[in-house]
Amino acid sequence: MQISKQSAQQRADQIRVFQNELAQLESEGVLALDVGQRLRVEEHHRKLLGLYAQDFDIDRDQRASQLSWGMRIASFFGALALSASVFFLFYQFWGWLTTGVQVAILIAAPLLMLGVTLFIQQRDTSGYFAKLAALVTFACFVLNISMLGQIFNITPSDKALLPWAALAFLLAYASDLRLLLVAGILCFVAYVAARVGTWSGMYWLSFGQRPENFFPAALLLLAVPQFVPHRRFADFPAMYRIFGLLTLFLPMLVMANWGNSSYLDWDADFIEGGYQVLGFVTTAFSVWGGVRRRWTEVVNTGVTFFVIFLYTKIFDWWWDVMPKYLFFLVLGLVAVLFLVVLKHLRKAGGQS
Amino acid sequence: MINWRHTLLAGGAIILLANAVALGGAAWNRSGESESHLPLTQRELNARSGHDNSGMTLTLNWRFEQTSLDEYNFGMYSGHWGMPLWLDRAKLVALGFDVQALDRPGEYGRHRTAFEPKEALVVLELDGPAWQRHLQRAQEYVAETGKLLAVSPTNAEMQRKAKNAYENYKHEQDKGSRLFAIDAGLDLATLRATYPDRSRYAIVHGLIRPSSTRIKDKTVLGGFISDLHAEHINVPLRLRQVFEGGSPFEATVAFGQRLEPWLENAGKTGIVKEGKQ
Repeated sequence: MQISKQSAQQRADQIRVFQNELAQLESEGVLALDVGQRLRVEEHHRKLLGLYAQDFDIDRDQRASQLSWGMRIASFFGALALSASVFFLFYQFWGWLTTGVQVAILIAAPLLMLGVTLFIQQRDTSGYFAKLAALVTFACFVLNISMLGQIFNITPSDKALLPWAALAFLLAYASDLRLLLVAGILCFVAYVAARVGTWSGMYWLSFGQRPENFFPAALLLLAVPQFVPHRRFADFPAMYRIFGLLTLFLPMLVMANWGNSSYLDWDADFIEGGYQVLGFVTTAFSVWGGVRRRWTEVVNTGVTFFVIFLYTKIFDWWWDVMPKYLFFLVLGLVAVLFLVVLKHLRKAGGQS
Repeated sequence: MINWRHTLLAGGAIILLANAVALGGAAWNRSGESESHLPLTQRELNARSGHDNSGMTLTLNWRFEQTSLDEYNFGMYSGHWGMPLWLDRAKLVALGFDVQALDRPGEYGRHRTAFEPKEALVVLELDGPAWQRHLQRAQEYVAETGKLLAVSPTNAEMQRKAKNAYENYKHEQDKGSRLFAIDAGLDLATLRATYPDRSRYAIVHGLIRPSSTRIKDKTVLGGFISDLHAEHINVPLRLRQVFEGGSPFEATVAFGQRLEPWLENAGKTGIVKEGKQ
């Protein structure tokens, strides 16, 4: 059966925990495997870990895990720095090139980097170098399209977001790279919001002025992990859900405090009240749904926004009328109340 | 993870297709006879290049007749802030703005849709009646400040105003841009029929934002040209030297099928090079 790197790492971690617990149980005299059983288990684990290490370059122990975090961070900053370097390198010299050479370089750069990414991917089992190359490929493509616009004085258009999103998604799935998935999601959200905005008659770049433009994109993002199986990309559904919820809750939060930004031609106070209620209901619903489905990221996002909605409301009601010590005491008590509710939910989840 | 051959094919296809669409659009814009072509000079084009950016860009220095003239919006201080004289209630209606919503007092917050900018076609006139009228108004302003100075010849403020007005008028005559936004509409054919001279009138895409001001219980409607999409023009390498050194130049800027501009030819005053690539 084909598994993802995350699943392989999870299994390797389970094996490590199992070995520690087994040693503990043996030392406490609770359990003792006979020599045959022990050898069979050890041999099975050795084979599994060897296979995973060969295919995915997983962290076999705690030390490797710590180092791999360091590599992840270095790879992220390296990719950002290299992408910035590509931008500035082109800007530094493009004025001294003929239009034909400029266009040739701009098209060749992402194609070449795509080839380099896939070449590295074949040889680098850790994936860090391939991920770094994938990010630079995306940066080259963004530079490519935006510079063509500048060279030929093309009117800016939201349509550029579509190929950027497409390449970001492709590279994200090809390299198992969450950062590019986020880039793809952001391009997609901006494109859908801009389209929705233009349908209502506004200029595409003004789409941020009406937060409701983001709702269709939010629903589409939340629907993706429900309808598209992600067996080999264990982390991706969580990313879709997190960004789906952010795209839903942030516009609600804006309109809960600034009703005039809504499309609705009603009284601003009524709109703000409506979005406050909707904010509480949807965040509470996402916490409840997240607990039921065991989606930690949904619970965390829901709780965070519920608290933000609550605190902004408390600020509206009491900041001016309460002494500051009392105001912060109320905030503290609300946090304690939250802890009690979440503890209760955790207990209920454990029992079920 | 996805098979690397499929990734290479799909990625290559995305990159090449996006480039084909962008380059195809640019080629179509420049195909056939240009929609308009304006012979501009250093008065209407500002050349710009940066320390970390070796590319050179020309910016169209366009203006419009202001609703009111003062010492800060003509001459060397002239720009395209403020409200064009011609962008009135009737023009806003023609551009599809909801003037009833704009009229309602104290409703700015609730009817923001009415105040949102809309895309429109803006007519740019080179060295035409608008420029002449502007020059005339500037001259009248000089005369007006001169009269005020004659009344109080020792007043330092009047002396300063009169001096500024004269300097600004001289600037308008010798250095000021003669490129004026004079009209806007939604239909290219209608606008072109009204302004048929393609070497004097360019039509470009822009954004118009309406404005509503309450003056003594009366709502005055107007608007701003918040953006012209054809404002920046890239300079190809072979024409770059024309714009270096700050000496006077002549350049023909063409506007194509999509009303996007490019530099057709340019040269130091008296020597003009072809620039179409």
